[in-house]
Amino acid sequence: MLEALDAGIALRFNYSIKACDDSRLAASAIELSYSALTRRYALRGGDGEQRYFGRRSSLLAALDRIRLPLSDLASLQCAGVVVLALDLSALPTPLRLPALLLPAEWQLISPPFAWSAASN
Amino acid sequence: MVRREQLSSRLGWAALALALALLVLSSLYLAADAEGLGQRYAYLYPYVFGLAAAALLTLSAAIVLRLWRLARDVRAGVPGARLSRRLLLILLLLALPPVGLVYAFGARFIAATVDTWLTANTAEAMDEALAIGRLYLDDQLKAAEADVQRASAQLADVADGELAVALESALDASRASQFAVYSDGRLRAIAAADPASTRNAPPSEDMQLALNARGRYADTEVVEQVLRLRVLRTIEGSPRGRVLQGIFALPADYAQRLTTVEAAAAAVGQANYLRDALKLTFQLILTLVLLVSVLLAILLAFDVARRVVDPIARLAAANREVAEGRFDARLADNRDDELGMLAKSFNRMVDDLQRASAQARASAEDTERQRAFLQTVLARLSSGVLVVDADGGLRSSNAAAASVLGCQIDALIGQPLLRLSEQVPALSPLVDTLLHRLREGVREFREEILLPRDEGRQQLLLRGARLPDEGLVAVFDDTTEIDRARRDAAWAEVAKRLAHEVKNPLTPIQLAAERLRRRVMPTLAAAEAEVVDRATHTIVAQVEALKTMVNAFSDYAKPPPLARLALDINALVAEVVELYIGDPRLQLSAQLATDLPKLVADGGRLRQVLHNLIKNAQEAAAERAGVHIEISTCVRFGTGNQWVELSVADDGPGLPEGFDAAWYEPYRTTKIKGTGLGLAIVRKIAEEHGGQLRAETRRSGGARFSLRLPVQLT
Repeated sequence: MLEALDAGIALRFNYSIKACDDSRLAASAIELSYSALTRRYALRGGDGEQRYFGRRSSLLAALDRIRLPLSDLASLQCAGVVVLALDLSALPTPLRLPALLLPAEWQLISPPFAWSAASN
Repeated sequence: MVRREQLSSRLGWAALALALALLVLSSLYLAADAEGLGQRYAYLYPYVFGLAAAALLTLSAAIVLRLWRLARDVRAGVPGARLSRRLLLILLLLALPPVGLVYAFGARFIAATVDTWLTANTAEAMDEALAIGRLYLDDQLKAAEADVQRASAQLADVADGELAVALESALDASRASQFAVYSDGRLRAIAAADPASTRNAPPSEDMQLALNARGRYADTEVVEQVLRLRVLRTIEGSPRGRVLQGIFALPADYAQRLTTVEAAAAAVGQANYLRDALKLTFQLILTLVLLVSVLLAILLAFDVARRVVDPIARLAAANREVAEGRFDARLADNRDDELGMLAKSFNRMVDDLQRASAQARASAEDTERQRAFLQTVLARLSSGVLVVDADGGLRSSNAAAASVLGCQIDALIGQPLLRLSEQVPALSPLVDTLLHRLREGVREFREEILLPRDEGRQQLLLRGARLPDEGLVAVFDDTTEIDRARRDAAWAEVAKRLAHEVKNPLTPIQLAAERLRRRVMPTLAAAEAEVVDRATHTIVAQVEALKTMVNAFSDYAKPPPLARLALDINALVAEVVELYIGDPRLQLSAQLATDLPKLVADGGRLRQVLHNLIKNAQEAAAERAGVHIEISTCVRFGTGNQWVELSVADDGPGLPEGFDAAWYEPYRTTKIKGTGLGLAIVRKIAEEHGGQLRAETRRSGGARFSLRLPVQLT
C-alpha cells in the first residue's frame, strides 16, 4: 500500500463518527498523497487543510494527530465510536481487484474507538 | 402436469438468461470501469463480483444438471440420449477450441499491449522532466529567499507606523506577489503586487515550527491548483519577533507546464505501479467474457442437441412402440423440413402397418377358430389321427390316437416319429408303414396293420392322405374287436349250419348202424360178423364224436346267458382239482392266494374254463403221462383295475412257435385230437366276464394260461 502511495496513488481514508444511538453524526475523509515534483507527502484533512511532509515517516506520524470535527458533538452526553477505513472505491480501477482479492493488505479498517463528549 | 413442467422449464430458462445477462453486465461494468467509469459507480465493484460469481454458479449448476440428466438418460437407454451425447461432444469440440484460442491470444495481447504502453524510456523521460522542474523550482526558491532576505534587511528597524510603507517599498523592489509581516501570530502589515494577491495566507503551525527551528522557511505549495512559493524569514532586530512572509507566484506558463509535467509523471508512475494489476483486471474481464462464451456455448450445444435429437428421439420411441405392436404412435408432422417428411412417411407407414396388423389379426383369429374347430372335431373323433410332417416328425395327434395306441403320444409331438416305435416297439409296424408311405409320396393309401400286443394282436385299419406341405395325415381305427366279432359271427354261422346240416343226419346214421348190428350181424358168419361189428362200432363211435363236436360248436355259437353270482374262486379251483385226483395222466397242484376278493361271475363257465385249460395242458403233453399242472390264483393290479388272476401252468412243450391271438380262434390246434374249440371257448368266457386271457411259455418249460377277471366289473 505504501508503495502505491510512493507511486503517486492517493489513499483516502474515510472516518465515520457514530453517536449514542448508533446514528451517524459525521463523516469525512482524509487523503494522503505524494508529489513527485516537490518530493513531498501531503495530508489533506477533513477541513480541507493540507499539510506537507518531506518524509513518509513524518506523514505517518502526523496521522496520530488528526483533528476530527467533533465540536458540534460536545453537547451530547453519551459515548460514541469512531471508525477509520481505507476507501477502496477511491483506488484506481486496476487496484480494486487486488484490493478485493487481498483483504489482508488492503482491507484497512480500524477497530471502533469509543469516545465520549465529556472527555472531549 | 404438463403446464407445470412448461412453467418450470420457462423459469429455468429465465434464470439462465438472467445469469447470462448478469455476466455480460459484469463484464461491461468492468470494461467500463477500466476505461474510467469514475468514483460514482465504484461502490458497485464487490456487488458486481458477487453477482458474477452467483451467475457463474447458476450457469454451472444448470450445465451440471443437464449433464447429469444426459448421463442418466444414456444409462437408461432413453431414445436419442446417445445421439445427444455425441452431438453435444461434437458441438463442444467445434466451439471450445476457438474460444480457448481467442482467450490465449487475448491474454497474450493484453499483456503485450499493457507492456507497450509504458516503455522504460517513458519513465526515464518523465523523471528527467521532473528533475528539470525541480531545478527550476529550486532556482526560483533561491531567488525568492534572496528577495525576502533583502526585504527583511530593509524592514529591520522600521517602526510599526511605517511598516506598511516600507513593506510596499520592499515589494516593489522584489518579484514577490505578496509580502506580509506577522508578529505574535498576528498580521501586522501586508502588501500585494496585484489585487488578486491581497488574500491573507498566514503560515501554518508546521511552517512556524520549521521557521523556529531553522530561522527561515522556503517551500513550494499548491493552492487552488496553482503552484506557488512561500518563504518565511524572521526579521532580525525587529520588535516582537516580526516574521516576513513572501509569496511568489510562478510565471503562468511555467506553472502550467510544471503542473502538466507533474501530472504526467504521476500518471506514468501510477501506470508503472499498476501494470500487473491492470493486466489482471483486463484478463479478469477477458475470463468473464470467455466464461460467458463457454457457458453459453455449452448451453446452446445442449439446446441445439435437444432440438436436433428430439424429433429423432420421438421417432425412435414411436418406432419402438410400433415394434412392440402398439400402432397408436404418431409423430407431429408440422415441420417443413426433412424431419417433417420423415414424420409424414412414418405416420403413413404406421397406418399401413396398423391396417395390415388388423388384417393379420383377423386372419389369425379366423385360423385360430378353424384350428379350435378342427381340434374339437379331432378330440371327439373315435378314430386315431396322426399328422406327420415332411421330415417324418410327429406334428399332431388326437386323444383317440393315444387311446388306440395305448401310449402318451402327446409327449412326442415335435419329435421324430421313430421315437414312437423306440418307446413302444409294438407300434413299429404302424410307424414303419407311415414312414414308408411318406417316402413313397403316395397321395392316399389304405391298409390293415397288425400290432403285436401282449394280450394278442391288435388290428388297425389305417387310411392316410398326403398333406399340401408334403406331410401326412393318418387316420386309424382299432378293428380288433370288430374283426373278432366278425369272426365270431362267422363261426357262429358255421356252428349253426353244422348243427343243422350235420347233426340231423347223424341220428339216422347211428340208428342205421345199430340196426345193422342188431339185425344183420347175427345172420352173418363169424368173420363177416366181426367185420360188421367193427365197422358199425366205428360208425357209432364217430357219430358220437361228431355229435360231441357239433354240440360243442352249438354251445360256442349260442352260449346260454351268464348266471353271475358271488363266487369264491379258490373254492371253485379246489372242487375242480378234487375231480382230477386219482387221474394217473396228470398231477395237479394248487397255489391259491388268500384274501382274494369275491368275484361276481358265472361259476359254471369258470369251471368250464378250468376244465378246458386242464384238458388243453393234458392234450399238449400228448402221450406223456403224469404231466404236472399247477393251478394258482392271485390278485393283480394294472390299468387302473384290480384283477383276480387264475393261472393254469403245465410242464409240457410250451406254446407253439408263432402263437398269437389267432390261436384263440376255433379250429386252431396242434393236437391230433380235439375240436379246436377249447381255447376259443376260454377266451370267449373271459371276454363275457370283461376279462383277459394271456398265454406265455414258462422259463422253466411248459405253457401258462392266465385268466384275469376284473374285480370291479364283476
